[in-house]
Parts: sequence; structure tokens; C-alpha cells
Amino acid sequence: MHRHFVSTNISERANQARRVLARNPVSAVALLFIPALTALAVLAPWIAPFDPDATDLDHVLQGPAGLHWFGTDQVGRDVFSRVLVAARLDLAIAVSAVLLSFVIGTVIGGAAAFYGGLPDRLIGRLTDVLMTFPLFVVAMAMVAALGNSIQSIVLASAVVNLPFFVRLARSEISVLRSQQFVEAARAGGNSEWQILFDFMIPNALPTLTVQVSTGLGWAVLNAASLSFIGLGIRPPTAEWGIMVAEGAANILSGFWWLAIFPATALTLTVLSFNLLGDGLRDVIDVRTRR
Amino acid sequence: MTRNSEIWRFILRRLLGTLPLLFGVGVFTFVLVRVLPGDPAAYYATGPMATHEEIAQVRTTLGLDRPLPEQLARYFKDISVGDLGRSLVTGQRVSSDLRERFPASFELTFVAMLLALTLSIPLGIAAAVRAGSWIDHLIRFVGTLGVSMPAFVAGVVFIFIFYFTLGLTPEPIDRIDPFMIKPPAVTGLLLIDCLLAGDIPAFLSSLARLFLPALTMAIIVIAPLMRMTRASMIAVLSSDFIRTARAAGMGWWKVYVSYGLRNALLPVLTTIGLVVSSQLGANVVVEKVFAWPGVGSYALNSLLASDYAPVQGYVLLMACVYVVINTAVDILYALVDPRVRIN
Amino acid sequence: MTEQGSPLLEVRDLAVSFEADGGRVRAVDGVSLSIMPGETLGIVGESGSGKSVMAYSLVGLLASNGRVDRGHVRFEGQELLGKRGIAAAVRGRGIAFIFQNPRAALNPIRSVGDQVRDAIETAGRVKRRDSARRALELLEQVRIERAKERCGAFPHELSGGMCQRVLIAMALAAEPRLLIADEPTTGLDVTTQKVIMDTLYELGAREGLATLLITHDIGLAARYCRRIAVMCAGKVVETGATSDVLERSQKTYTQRLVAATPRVGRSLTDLLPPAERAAFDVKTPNGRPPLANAAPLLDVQAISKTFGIRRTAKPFARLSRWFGGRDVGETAIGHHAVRNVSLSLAPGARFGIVGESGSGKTTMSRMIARLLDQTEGRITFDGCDIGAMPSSSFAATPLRRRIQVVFQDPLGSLNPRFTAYEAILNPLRRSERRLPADVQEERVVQAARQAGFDSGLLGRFPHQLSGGQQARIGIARALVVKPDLLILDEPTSALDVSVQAVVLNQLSLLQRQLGLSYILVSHDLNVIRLMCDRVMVMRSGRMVECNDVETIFSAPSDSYTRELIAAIPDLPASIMEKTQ
Repeated sequence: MHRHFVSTNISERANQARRVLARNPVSAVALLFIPALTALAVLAPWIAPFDPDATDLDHVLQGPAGLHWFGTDQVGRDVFSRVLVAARLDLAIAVSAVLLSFVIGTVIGGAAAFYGGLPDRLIGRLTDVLMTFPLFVVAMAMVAALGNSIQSIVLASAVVNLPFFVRLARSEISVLRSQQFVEAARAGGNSEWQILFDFMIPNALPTLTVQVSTGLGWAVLNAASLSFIGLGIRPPTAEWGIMVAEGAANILSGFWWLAIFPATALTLTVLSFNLLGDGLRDVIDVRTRR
Repeated sequence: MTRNSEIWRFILRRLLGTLPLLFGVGVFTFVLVRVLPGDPAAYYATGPMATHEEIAQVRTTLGLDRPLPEQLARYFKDISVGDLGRSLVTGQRVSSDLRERFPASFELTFVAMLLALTLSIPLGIAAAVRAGSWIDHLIRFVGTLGVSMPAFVAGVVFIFIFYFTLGLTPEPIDRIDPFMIKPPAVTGLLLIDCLLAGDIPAFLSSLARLFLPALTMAIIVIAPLMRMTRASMIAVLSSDFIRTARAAGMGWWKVYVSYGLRNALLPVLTTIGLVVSSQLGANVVVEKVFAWPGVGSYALNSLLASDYAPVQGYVLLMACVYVVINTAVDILYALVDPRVRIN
Repeated sequence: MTEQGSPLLEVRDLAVSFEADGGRVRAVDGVSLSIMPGETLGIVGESGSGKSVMAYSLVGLLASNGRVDRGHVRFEGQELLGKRGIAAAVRGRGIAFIFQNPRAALNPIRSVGDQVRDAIETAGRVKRRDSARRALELLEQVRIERAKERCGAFPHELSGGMCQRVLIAMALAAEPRLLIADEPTTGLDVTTQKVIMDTLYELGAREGLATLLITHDIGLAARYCRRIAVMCAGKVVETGATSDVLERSQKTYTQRLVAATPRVGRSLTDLLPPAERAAFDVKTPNGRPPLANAAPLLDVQAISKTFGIRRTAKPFARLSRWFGGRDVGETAIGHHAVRNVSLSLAPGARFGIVGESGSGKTTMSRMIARLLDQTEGRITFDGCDIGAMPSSSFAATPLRRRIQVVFQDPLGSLNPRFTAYEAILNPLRRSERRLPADVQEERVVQAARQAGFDSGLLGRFPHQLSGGQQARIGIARALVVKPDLLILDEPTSALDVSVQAVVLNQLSLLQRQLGLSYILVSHDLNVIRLMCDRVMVMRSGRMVECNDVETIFSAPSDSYTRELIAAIPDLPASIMEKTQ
């Protein structure tokens, strides 16, 4: 490209980001939490103090103290290590599921809106039908059909997230289609494909990114909820939903740490993704509200 | 075209528009059972101990050896008369199981929705009026926290706080104190039945037990409803027609309630239709956590027991509920906003 | 109560500021003016002058981030600022408002009649039963036809002009003494504009209403106001009788503003201040010589465009009609945007298409630019039948670069993700693929210079630039591929008058230097007169007349054209001779 005309974009973006973070301190916290969590999750097998599956029947149901920061469960496993390893599993599931649904959903929705006509209406109808079902129930049924495995949870979560991306991509692209700069691009000699990739998708990305963020939150929630009710991942695998389920039975006997720590970790993770999404949405609203 | 005929035309168009949707729903649930593991004939046979001959006979009776399109047609015929098969676990017809358990879920979901609206709309308005202030941020944060907590986490935490620690609510089992006598079932909705029978202690007992599960279901939807109320209110407050109303000297009530709120609540109405879906999904988990005898726990237990006819019936029922609610929302919207009535 | 001879409204040293991202912004900086009872005062200024903000602040209608810093406002002797509630009490009853964008200013879910009744009942003097009757009276007063029927109509069912009339009715409901009109006719057709302003003027005269007319259109102010105040950057530059201010002003800003307003008898360079005229007074064209006695560059024959053709079989027709509530018949129905229009352009021609909204002029321009397919007719460009090439594949043909378009919305026609450089480069990359990077850069810079765009700003994004700069990027983008035919779709209608003066001059200079042909589409006859040699008047998709510009203006043959010309709020003839 041209050296002289490198944009003033970077400094402008940095200034804007600083202003938004100042206004939304909570989003700033979320922004720090997510990378920290990701780092912990990735390094979990190496930094966990205990083997998450190792039982120790001498130290059963001990409260948080000393070596066991989060206490031990009913067969003596260290709750902290299990929470850490569960983070890795849940995040991996969420990221795979959302990546899948983002790519496929955006392509389908974008293409539908782009070509218009019958395919567009058909895809709209199909998405509507899919969304009539409480999506959690759809996930339940899928996991039951496909068997209890990580792959089935990823697939089920992807399918459940898919209609949101399709709908969003469709609405974004169809709004962009009628913008004057798209018409101008045609006058400039751009082919329809070039318009899609150079003009439409870059302008649709901000809104889609918000959906990715909240989608990650939902995917984690989904996976945990499925395991909680007994579908998908089964014990003794360390997963937040399972841990809360096992802990719930013990909570009424007073052993609160079994359920509360994984529940807190789960909530904080989903919360961070949602706050990130909210913060991003605020930034985008400001930019489009000229 | 008179106003009234315009409205009726819209209603008819909308109702007819649900037909392809319902068709799609039917096809999907049909596929669902075919996809679930196991032999469909076994589900509809008389019991889990059916012999091979019995199963083969059931298969021919049910037409499961016929080509798929014929099966599909037969399926539609069955569901249109309300024949949803039979549950292996309860041994009863799925349709009667669902009819029996539906009021419990309906009562729970309805109260939860009411609770959610009572909280989210005023909070959303407050956040909008004080946009940008710390109140606004706090309200939005609490809302997001609610939506980030999975239903089961919220349920477990609430039970821990309200029942175990504070002892404010009764045990989370069933809809009413097991030692109390239930009032005669007129509507199936315990609260109303209690009131109708004039049985106040029973009313209070069922209300107390309804509170936690309803609250759990409510916090999941408070965030989207509140966010939409806030955004909509902000947009309306800065709109041109509010400025005209103020410039014309209209009073506070006229400007902010008649002109402002009525316009602002329209998108909220649409949002209600949309969040019903997530409520119905959360319903399953909440009913499990609180041992609530509704259709959600019925479906879940059936699924875990590999009893698939109830699951199919449940999914069908839930989809229909969603369609009914959204159609009602659309029609209500059209009654208020004339712009959507034109083709 | 006002005593004899004292002002109805008196503003002294008013200052208003706003909370914005970078800090507080001064919108109004020490404004003083006064209006006598029954008088019409015009406040004239370009965008950013603070004229609307000042008006809103008088009755406490500022947005929540605005604040009155200092000043006094006395209405009928009473101080409005200071104690809360006084301004609110005066709203609607003493001082009434009408706004820009009339349809947006009405409650979309309430019928028009009900809204007028709300305004009437606010005054408090009328009972519920009587308010319906009074509403009907008011609607008839503002010349709404079939008022009784229209009472139950909703804003989206009425035209912009009718919505504005409803707003005027609402404003008059409480019998105010002062009416503040903030750009009441912007966005409306010129003929509708005249009707609305005449109605306002009449009503004002009849009821003894004082009017404060806020506008950017000097011609409008000249025609309807007895006194004018000129505002710039939050301050009042000068105030005085209309003729004094417009003809004999001593202030540079006012002179510049008046000079930049296109009107009868002025040439393009007259629009600019004297110091800047030299650059554009190029008499001899250089560059490409005009093609002498060549075949027409563009030939359009009997072109038509119909949207939404649908054929319904007879058995379904009745059913569809009942459902859709429309007359859906057996044969094709649809919106006839353009009907049977023909035109012919010689090389180097300057052609104008003028019409109001719904005239089909934009559709025409899109078809000629091959962005839209015609339903019928032939289009020939430099001998090639381009009408036969579908618009979806035209972008790939080598002819694409020879016909370029400058669009109406300066900001909306630019990709928000492209810098100015990238925006101008894009068509060049598409048409000449093998160009080395340094040649590309050269061409972009040259195009920017031709359009008058500062090359130091090429790294900026559209939202970081002013409206005028955005418009220039659009022009540069069209020029970079060296087209033969340029289609200009209302290129300056979104710009301030002084910026428009410069841009129009630039376009004219370019046309002479490069030997371009252009088609200028506009609703503004004055601009067409300055920029074009021939003009076609369109109405409801048909060509009304097509002739030389001078003939159209001096001897229009069609009554519609006459109506159009008469509706232009023009500056009084006496100003024509002044060459400041």
C-alpha cells in the first residue's frame, strides 16, 4: 500500500477504546478476566495442584483449607483442580461450538440475504421453524440421539446457536444491500462477490462479533446445563455442570463448597462473555449513531 | 377500507401464516423420533417386555414398514386428533399425561413471566431516565448477572440461601405442602383453585412454594426485557414526536405515558414473544431442581428413561405454545401500531 | 401583557452549550434579538450556526446534555429562563413550534385527529365534545382536503406536506402569539413548500401571529420575512430589515452567504467571493478537445421502468384482493416509475433533469448508469447498445468505467471501512488491474486534486471529514477512471450553500478541462440553470418538456413547469444587480 496514507485509524481506535472503558469499568474487568481465564484453562493440566481424578478416601468432604483451596468432594478429589480442568473442557466445547455455528451461520445467512428471492425466504422460514422449539430442548434431544460424548455436545450447541447467526447475518446483509455505498461500489466496477467481501462483510463484522461473545457465554451455559441434567458428559469427568449436580445433593447437608465453587466459576465465565458483548455493543452503537 | 376490516384482515393473514410454521414443526418432531436411538415400534408397544412378534405386529399396525411420506401423513393425522402415543413409564396416553401436568408448568411459567415483567419494565424505565449514571450501570449489571447464571445454578443458590440458610421458604418439593389437602381441581392452576375454594392456608402454601422456582425462571429473562425497555425508552424520549408533544405544552402524563410509554413498550412486547423460548427451555431444568410436577420434568424423565413418545409430544406441545404466544403478540402489536397492518 | 410598542419576545445575551465527547461545546454564544407582535423574523444560517439550538432553548426544549449558560429571555414581559415551570407553561399557549421532518414529528400510533385534539385540550379551555369539532375546524383552516376523512388517518398514511399542515394545526390550537418554525419546509417538494409557507403567512397575518422562521434558505427568508438575523458559529452577525441585510450588508459573512445563493441572473463564479473567482475563470479548455459534430454520446429511446409487476390468475385474484386489500387483477400491475422517456446527449453536453419527488428522475439516472434494468426501451452509448447488457453483469464490461456516478448522500455513498484513498482507488483497481502501485498513487492524487480534495487528508475515514470533503471524495472516485459521461445525482443538495458554490464551480471547471459530458439530476432549478445547457422536466415518470435552459426559464411551454418556476423562493430582483 501507500506509505503516506496509512490511516490515523489506530490512534483513533485506541482513543475510542479508552473512552468506552472509562465509561464502562465493569466491561474493562470482563476484558481482563477472559484472557486470564483462557490462560488458566489452557495451562490447567500443568498448574493443577492435584490430579483431578485422584480419589483420597482419607480426606473426604473437607472444607476449603490449607492445601485444598476449594475443599474436597465426597470421594476426596480436590475441588480446585477439578474446577480448573473443567474450565478447560467447557471453554473448549464453547469455542468449538461457536466457531462452527459462526462460520456456517454467517455464510448461510449472508448468502441468503445476498441472493435474495426464494432461497432467502426459504432459509428465513427454516430458521423460524428451528426457533419455535425451545432450543435447550433441541439440544437435549440431539445429545440423546447422538449419544453421550463431547462431540455430541459440541454439535448440539452449534446447532442451537446457528439460527441466531443466520438471522443476524441475514438482517445485517439485507440492510447493507440497500445502502448507497454498495450501489456506488457497483458503479465503480465491483462484481457482486467483491461487494460481498470488501464492502458488506467488513461492515457486518462488528455486530457479528457481539453475537460471538454472547454466543460463547450461552455455549458454556448450554454445555453445563446438559451435563447437569445427566446428558452428554458423564461423571467422573470434571465438568462444571456435573460438579454442581453432585454438589447440589450435598448442599442441603451443609457441604456448600462442592457446588458453590464450580457454580461461581461458571457464572463468572458466562458473565464475562456477556459483559464483553454488552461493552462491544455500546461501542458499536456509538459508532453507528452518527 | 375501514379500520376494523383492516385489523381483521391482518389477524386472518397472520393466523394463516402460522400454518406453514406448524407444518414445519410437525415435520421436525417426526424426524426427531426417527432419529432418536432405538426402534420406534418398541415405544408404542404395550410395554418393555414385548416379544418380537408383538413388536412386529405393532410395527405393521403403526405402519412403520410403510414408506416415509406415508408415515409422515399418518403422523399428521394422528397428531391432529390428539393421539401422541403412549408412555412406557407411566403406561398412559401421552396426551393425557401432558394434559394432567400442563397446568403446573403453565402456572409456573405465567407467574415467572409476570414477575419478570413487574421487575424489568420499571427497572428499564429507571435506567433509561437516568441513562449513563451509576444507577443505570448497576441495573444493567444486575440484569446481565441474572442472565449469566444458569437456571440450575440460580435454583441451587436460591435454595441454599432462602431455604437452607434463611429458612424463609419451604422445602423445594411439589407445589404445596404434602400434608395439606389440595383444593378441588377446577382449572388445575393451584393458586386459582385455592382462591375459588376460599382455602387461604393452601393458597399461601402454594404461593410460598411457587416463589423460588418462579424467581429462578424470571431472572433469566429479566436482562433481555430490561435491556429492550431501556433502549426503547431512550429512543422514544429523544424522538421528534415527544418533542412536539412537549412543545405543544401537553402535560407530564400525556407526554411520557400516553405518547412515550405506549410507543416504547411495543418493542418490549415483541421481546416477550422471543424470550418465551428461553423460558420454556429453562423450564426443564427448573422443574428438575425444584421437583416440580410439570411437563418439563415429565419430558426429561422420559428422555433419560429412553421413553421417546412423551418427548415427542412434549416438543410438539412446546412448539405450539411458542407459536400461539408469538401469534398473540403479533396481533396485539398490530392492534396498537397501525403501521404493521399494511401489507 | 405587552404594552404598545414593546417587543413580544426579547432575547439578551443568550449562551447555550452542550456536553459532547471532547468536552463542552458552545452552540450559542451571546445572541440578542427581539420580535414585535405580528412580525415575521427570519433567522438565517448554515449548519452549525446554532439557530435551531437557540430556538429550542427559548422554551426549555433542549436535549438533556444541553444547558443554558447565561442570558435573558422575556416573553410578553415575563422572564422565561430561571424559574422552572415558567417556560413549560408558555409552551403551546404563548409560544408554539413546528419542526423539520413532519412525519417523524407526529406520534406514529395515534391518529392525526386525536393528536390535534390533544393539543386543543392542552389549552384547557375546550371541553371534550367540542374539541372534535374544533380539531376539524383547524384542519380545514390549514387547507387539508377531506378533513373529516383525514381525521382518522395515521401519519404514515399522509404525505410530508400534509403532516406539516397537521403540525401547524396543532401549533395553532391554543392560539399562541408567537410561532417558531424550525426549517419547516426542508425535505418537502418546492411546490408543497410554497403552499405551506403561503398558508403560514396567511394565517399569521390573519391571527396577528408573530413568526420566527429558522432556515438555511435565504430565498425563503427573503420572500416571507420582514426582518432577518444572520447567524454564524453561535453568534448573530447582523440583524435588520430584509432588504438592508441582503442588499446593503457590510459584513463579509453575510455578503458571502448572499452571494453563494444561486438565483436568476447570476453566473457560477458570481457565487464565490471575489478573491476566489480567479481559479475558476478558466476560459479556454485544455486537455481533451470536444468531439466536434460526432454522433450523440448517449441516446435514450422510449425508456420505461415499472416496478413490481405481478400477474395473478383469475381464481386467485378475488382472494388476493380481499387479503391484500388492493386491486390485484389479472394483468400486470405495478408502479410506473418512468414512462416512455427519450433523450439524446452530444459529447461535451451539460444536461439537466429536474423534477420533484416521485418524478422518476432518480430511476432515470440509475437506468442510464446501468445500475438498474429498464423494462422497455433502448439505451445506446457511443454506438454500443448498453440497454441490452443486464445491470448485474455491466460491472465487468470495459464500458463500466466510461459512465460514472456521483451520488446524493455524501457520507452514505462511502464505505465506512475505506479511507479516502482506498475509496478513490477502488474503481481504478477494478478497471485497470495491472497498474503498478506508484502509478495508482499518482492517479489517485491527481483525481483528488481535480476534485479539490486536500491530499493530506487521504488517510482519513469518512466520518472524520466534513460534508463537503465527503462530497469531493465521491467526485474524485468518479473521476479517477477518466469517464466520458458523469451522472450527478443531487451532488450538492446535502451541502451548505457556501460549500455548494465551491463544489459546483469545481465541477464546471472539470467539465471544461476534461471535456466531460454530464447529466445533472436535481430538484433545484437554480442549480440546473447555472450548470446545464439543456434541461428535461419530469413529472410522475413522464417527460413534461425538454429544451434549452434559457427557453425553459423565460418561456416555459407547460403549466407544470411554470408552477415549478413560480414556486422557487427567489431573491427580489433588486438584489440581482448588486455585485459585491
